[in-house]
Amino acid sequence: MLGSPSCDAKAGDALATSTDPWATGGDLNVGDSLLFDIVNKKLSEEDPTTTNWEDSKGQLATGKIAGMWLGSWAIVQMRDAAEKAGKDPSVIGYMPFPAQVNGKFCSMVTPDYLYSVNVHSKNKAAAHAWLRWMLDESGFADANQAISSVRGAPLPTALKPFGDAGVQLVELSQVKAGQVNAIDNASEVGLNKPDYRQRLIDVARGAAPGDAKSVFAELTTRWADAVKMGG
Amino acid sequence: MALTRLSSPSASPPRSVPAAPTRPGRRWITPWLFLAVPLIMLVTFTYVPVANMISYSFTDWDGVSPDKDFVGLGNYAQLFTRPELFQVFSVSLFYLVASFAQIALALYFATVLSFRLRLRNLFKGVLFFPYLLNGVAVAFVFLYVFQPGGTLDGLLRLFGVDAKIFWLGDPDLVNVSLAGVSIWRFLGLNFVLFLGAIQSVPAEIHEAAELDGASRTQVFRHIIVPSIRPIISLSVILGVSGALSVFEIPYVMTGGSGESRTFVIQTIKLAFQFNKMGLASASAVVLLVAILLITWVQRRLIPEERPETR
Repeated sequence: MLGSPSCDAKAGDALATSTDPWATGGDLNVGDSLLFDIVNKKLSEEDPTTTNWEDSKGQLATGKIAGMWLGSWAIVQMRDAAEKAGKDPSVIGYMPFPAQVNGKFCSMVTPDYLYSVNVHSKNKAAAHAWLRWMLDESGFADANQAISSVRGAPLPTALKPFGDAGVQLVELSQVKAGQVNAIDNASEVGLNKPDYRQRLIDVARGAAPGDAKSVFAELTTRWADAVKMGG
Repeated sequence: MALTRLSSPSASPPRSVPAAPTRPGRRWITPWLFLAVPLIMLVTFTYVPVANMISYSFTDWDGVSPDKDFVGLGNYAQLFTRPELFQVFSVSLFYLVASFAQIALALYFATVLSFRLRLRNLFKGVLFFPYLLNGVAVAFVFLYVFQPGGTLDGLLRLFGVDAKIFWLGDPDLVNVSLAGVSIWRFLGLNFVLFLGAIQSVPAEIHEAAELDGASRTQVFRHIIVPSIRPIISLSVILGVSGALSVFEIPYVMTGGSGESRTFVIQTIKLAFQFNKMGLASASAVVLLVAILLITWVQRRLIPEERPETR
């Protein structure tokens, strides 16, 4: 979610020093407010506590569920489920985050920064060869409809409509990712963890007291305190 | 008592028995050799990890880093100055009430099934069966039971109740539902313990009571309950410590979201989501101490009287 509404590649890094990450108009505010509104206006399932992932995949294919907020890793699973449900797998596709900057949609790309060779490795040549195989020959990116790490490689077919519609793909900067993670852990916010969004959903459906504003305010306080303490 | 008195004279004479000449100094080692394997396992897998955990609780270790800094009582200070970390213990009250209900139910079934009844072995099996199931499997089964329009709603509809109840989605109901699952799962264990104890009461006492014309409630109150008191008090201790450390069922069913978060789930999240191994270890130590303390208080309040020494 970070970066997509604002089309800002530095959105993640900005959190390292931000004392108000949920400020109106910011990425987290736009994204989490959208989630809040979806649940608050009863556009999602009635009881989020008993949903079933395997069932939901088929329901997406048959149109019972209009859309799901997922990463690109899910599309292969979803297409498999569509085929099992007797539908054409191509009914499953991507949609960019519904916000535009200068008339253009943006979508964030997270790099595969975990591919590396350990400097302490005794078998650097073998590790390197494995990496080359992984990237060049395994067909891993293709099988997962992921954007290949190889420079100049074509986009996966699932992303072709993005190219046609002029969606900008922006690579989210990870320069301060370590610092942001440290703050995230110290504040116990968990930007990439389910907990605070579960709470937001509970508030939105009236199962917990408060409103979107109070939830954001509490998260902001925790985040800001952690930033002040230096992570 | 009688048994030990009989056996103690026979235990001492080995000296008089002309056995193979052994050096008396080596004698003491034999029992320790037999005990070595279980003791080594106990120390390796219980006491060493606990000692480690206590030492982590004085550091700011993140769980992966090779270095950790000593922070003294910092984690404990944090734990006791953040009331939200202790608030989750209120969830345990639901499980505590449930464990008393569970003991009462188990006692009822054990008493009823200790009398001669038709199909009693079938009922014993039915009651004990859930305890044999894996907790994670139980949790998954009940996820389907509690779905809107799921098994439970369908069952209620047969009885004409057509209310849409969010068994897990309603914050006022979620812990009741989860505690109910816990009763269903652990009833069998209490039941078997009670049944075993009840059946060890000599049949002559029952016969004598019957001859004297005692009713079943009188038999229950004056014969069964006094003779299985140690087992009841054990069950209460297990119930209290179980209520404080509920984990499996809520973790699998709701992930500990919203109102269903328990102390152990919170500890796991601190340790493995937010990499606060030190704080999580301190929580675990606090839980351990709390359980020991409650058990101790309980033993002081209700001293265990041995039925033989009366």
